[in-house]
Amino acid sequence: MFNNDDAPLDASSFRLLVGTVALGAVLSVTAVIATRRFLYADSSYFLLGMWENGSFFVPNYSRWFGFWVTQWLPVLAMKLGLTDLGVLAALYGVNLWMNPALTVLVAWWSSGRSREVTLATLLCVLFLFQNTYLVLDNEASVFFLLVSILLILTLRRDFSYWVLLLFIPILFSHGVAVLAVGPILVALLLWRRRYFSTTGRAGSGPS
Amino acid sequence: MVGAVALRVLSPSAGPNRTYFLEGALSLPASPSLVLTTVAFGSLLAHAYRPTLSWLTKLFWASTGMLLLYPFVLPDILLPAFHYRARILNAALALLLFAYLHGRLHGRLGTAPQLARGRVLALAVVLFVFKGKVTWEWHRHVGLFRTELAEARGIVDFPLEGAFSERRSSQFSWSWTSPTRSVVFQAIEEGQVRAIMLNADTSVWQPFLPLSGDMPDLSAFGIWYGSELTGAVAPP
Repeated sequence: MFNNDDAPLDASSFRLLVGTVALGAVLSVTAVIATRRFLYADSSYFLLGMWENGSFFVPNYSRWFGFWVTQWLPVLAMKLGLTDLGVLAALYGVNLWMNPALTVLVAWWSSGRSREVTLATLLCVLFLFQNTYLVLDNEASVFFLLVSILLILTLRRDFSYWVLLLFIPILFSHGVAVLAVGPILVALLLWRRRYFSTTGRAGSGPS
Repeated sequence: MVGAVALRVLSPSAGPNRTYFLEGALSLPASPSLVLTTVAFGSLLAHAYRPTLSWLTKLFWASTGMLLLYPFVLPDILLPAFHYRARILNAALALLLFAYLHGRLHGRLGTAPQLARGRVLALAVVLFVFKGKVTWEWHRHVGLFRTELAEARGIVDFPLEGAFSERRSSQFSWSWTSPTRSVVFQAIEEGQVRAIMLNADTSVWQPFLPLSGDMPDLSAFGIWYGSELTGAVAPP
């Protein structure tokens, strides 16, 4: 995947890039948690709602999926009896930011530790990391979709059924997500024809 | 019931959908950061497929260089709200990019891209420097917010003058969250809430009404409101 101004994608190149990105991500997220930058926009409202409820806070039920994905960590801590608000806030920050890291990890694992697939995922995550101020609820649901599609593609099955199933939580995540991912669904379904026509490995539905 | 919900969520004619989608689309070209990042990533990938086009190399290094300098030279227009608005469109773009790369990597849609290791590394480092500067600017904004509340008791107006209200700081504010931020920051850092800053525009929707004494109940965490806010005596 790498050329040479530069070098081929050998193990050392892979480690260098992943190591650099991991170090940068750790430093960046640590700074974000320490400065509570995750409280930008309406996050303080969601955090306050979780504290008051002692549980999930879903002010807009059409976004329930995104709220659940981004609140489970502090909610779990509260259910376990943690009452330190500083720690709960930090866990909320971690919860918001852990989805990109999970995406890369799942990509690495599900692709049989493929360097190429892992780096492709890393590039996409870097792009999102830069272009979204925070990876908030709606993005988490899209990330979920991305991971799922990755799994499906890696498994080389006919994924159209899965895509449709996975869109159900997206439908209830946010109206905007529907508008944005609608064209993607079309693109993926059209793409599927090329994808499988070159592999001849169209499989059955979900199993 | 389900049909009504689905219609509300799906219909582009719904007000919130239309507004968010249009705002997101308009935010993409309006933010220098969004444009520079997209150009940098785009030229990186385009170069992988067309390595002989030297102008792609120039475009990549120019956009990456500007991305490095921009938050330091123009800290007044980091425009985090634009990133917020465009987040779904960006996520969609990343998803399509991933699907394309994945198809290429497995040789099903052609040959795998030959990315330049040095460029990927340089871009990654620049992005983290950029994020570091944004975090620093947020830290500055929150510091000014704390200063405004440091000596305050009770309900205070949103300051219309001073460093907190200047664009460099105010771009990190949110139109309706000053009261919730006041509560959250003081609850975390002081263990009590003694002052609440009102929104700049007090007519906007907000989750609770400080002027009516309608405060979030955080007593389960041992957080109490000062007597200037409740009129009652706080417990010892």
